[in-house]
Amino acid sequence: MSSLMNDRTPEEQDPRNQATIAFLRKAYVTDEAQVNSAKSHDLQETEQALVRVRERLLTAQQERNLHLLSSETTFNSAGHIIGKRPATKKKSLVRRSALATLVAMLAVVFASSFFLLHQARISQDGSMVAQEASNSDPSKQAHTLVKQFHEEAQQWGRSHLYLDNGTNKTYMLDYAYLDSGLGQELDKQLAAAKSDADFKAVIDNANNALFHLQMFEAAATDKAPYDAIHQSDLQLLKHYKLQQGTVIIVSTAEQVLRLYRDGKLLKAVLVTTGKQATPSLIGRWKIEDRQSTETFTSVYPRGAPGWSTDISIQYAQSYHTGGYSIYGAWWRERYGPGTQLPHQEASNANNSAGIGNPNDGSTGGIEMSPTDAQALYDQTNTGTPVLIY
Amino acid sequence: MHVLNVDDKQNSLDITFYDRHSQLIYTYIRRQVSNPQDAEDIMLEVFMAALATKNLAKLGEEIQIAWLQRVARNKIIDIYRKHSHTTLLPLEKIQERLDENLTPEQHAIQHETYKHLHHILNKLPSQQQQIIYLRFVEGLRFAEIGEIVNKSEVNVRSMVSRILHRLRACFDL
Repeated sequence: MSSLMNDRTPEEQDPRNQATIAFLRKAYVTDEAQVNSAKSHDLQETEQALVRVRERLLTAQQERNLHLLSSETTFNSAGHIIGKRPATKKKSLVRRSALATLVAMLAVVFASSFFLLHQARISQDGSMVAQEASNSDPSKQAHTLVKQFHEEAQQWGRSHLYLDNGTNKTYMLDYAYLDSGLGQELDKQLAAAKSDADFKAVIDNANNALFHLQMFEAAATDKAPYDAIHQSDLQLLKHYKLQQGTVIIVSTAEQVLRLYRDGKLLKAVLVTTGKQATPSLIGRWKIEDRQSTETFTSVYPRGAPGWSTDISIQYAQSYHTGGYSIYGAWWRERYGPGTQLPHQEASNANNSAGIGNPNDGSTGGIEMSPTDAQALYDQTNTGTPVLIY
Repeated sequence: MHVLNVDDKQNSLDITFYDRHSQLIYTYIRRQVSNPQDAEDIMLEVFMAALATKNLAKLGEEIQIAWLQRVARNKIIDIYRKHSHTTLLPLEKIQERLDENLTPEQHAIQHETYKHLHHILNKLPSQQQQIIYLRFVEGLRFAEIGEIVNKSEVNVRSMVSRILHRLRACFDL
């Protein structure tokens, strides 16, 4: 994943080449079924494939062992000067015991594949953890879940480091789930919780957080082109029961915004989401306010880190108070994978930590080209749900 | 009885090794091989080789993973070298497939442009077509493509850039 992002040439990222690339993707003979299955390649399918290989592996090992055993028997019977009958008897005994092993192993495989399938099904809707700990008290359960969320986010981040070739720096791509983002938010909620009801709210949030993280992980390894329907999107729609109506989905893993209506993909645009220090907010939100042009004024005092001069943005749709919006960012040349991290764009750029810096991710907003922002603005309205993962 | 014990021990050891690493290796393979059947076959070959390698169990986990990935990578390259011939679809077929999930921008592109694109693609040497296939259909990295077609990464990279540049001219007509 990380290397794939680094791997893209400027030509491949050039929006003017996207139509050519879309054509090339469809231009060669492939088995239709494979292409479809690569798209719908999800957790459950992986589990099933792993179970199938496991069975084949066990069978292959059994065959190999049987073969080894029988050649050993031949050697023994040749080594000892005994009659033919005892030799064959011994051989068949060995065969029989090996067969018994085979049957036993098959039974184990059968049972374990059921177990794995069951697990896969539970983890699909993300409620596995809730079921596991449903008997303990809410405070304990909330702490366990938040801890589990931290561990999962850390572990994924560490195993999918993004290496910036230019600076040799590495980044954890799921930073919106880590300490500067959702991880911190959950810790805050947990620290503030007092009543059982508070803890139950934390539990719900942590379960949703884990679900978003799972979908993020799936999207990060999904090979489907950015402008195709993603299984992770569909699962999110299902999770929040939003299969009807217009929904904006933002995938921070792919730096893409996809617009769905009644479960069908209407539009996909490359975006730039929040930088590491100020990630975009993971979760379920809705459009609260809309302005076709708006001036953004920094919330920080002049001179403080994060301060920036007033800047005019286009087609702004706010998804959370505090200036978190979806808008056209005319100051960028590029959007999409890698642009949420430090990179080099225009030479005379504003390099401040605030809004308007094209060389890093946004200050938490979802930025895209003004044309895309306008097209999106025309298709959505106040109240349109926004799912960020 | 003795035989049974030996068998059990050997198998339980084997299969935990698979359980520990299968997810990681499968993801690694699947990222580069779109056909799930091929991916499963490669998995089987990799882990059979691993189980047959005596000293692997004594090595550290990281080295084991590196070993598994290296073997997987070689098998992936083998598969692509085996089917090195790519077939360009007829223009009507490509358009049919493009129509399946068309964004409005793609919709606007004229038939003439596609015709032109197809014509240029058709005349590209077969190795360049293979590179395009591996890059855009299979989604491989430049370094991986380089190993398959016996060229340097830089070389493949600039070839793809050149081809894209040339093809874009069709849209500027």
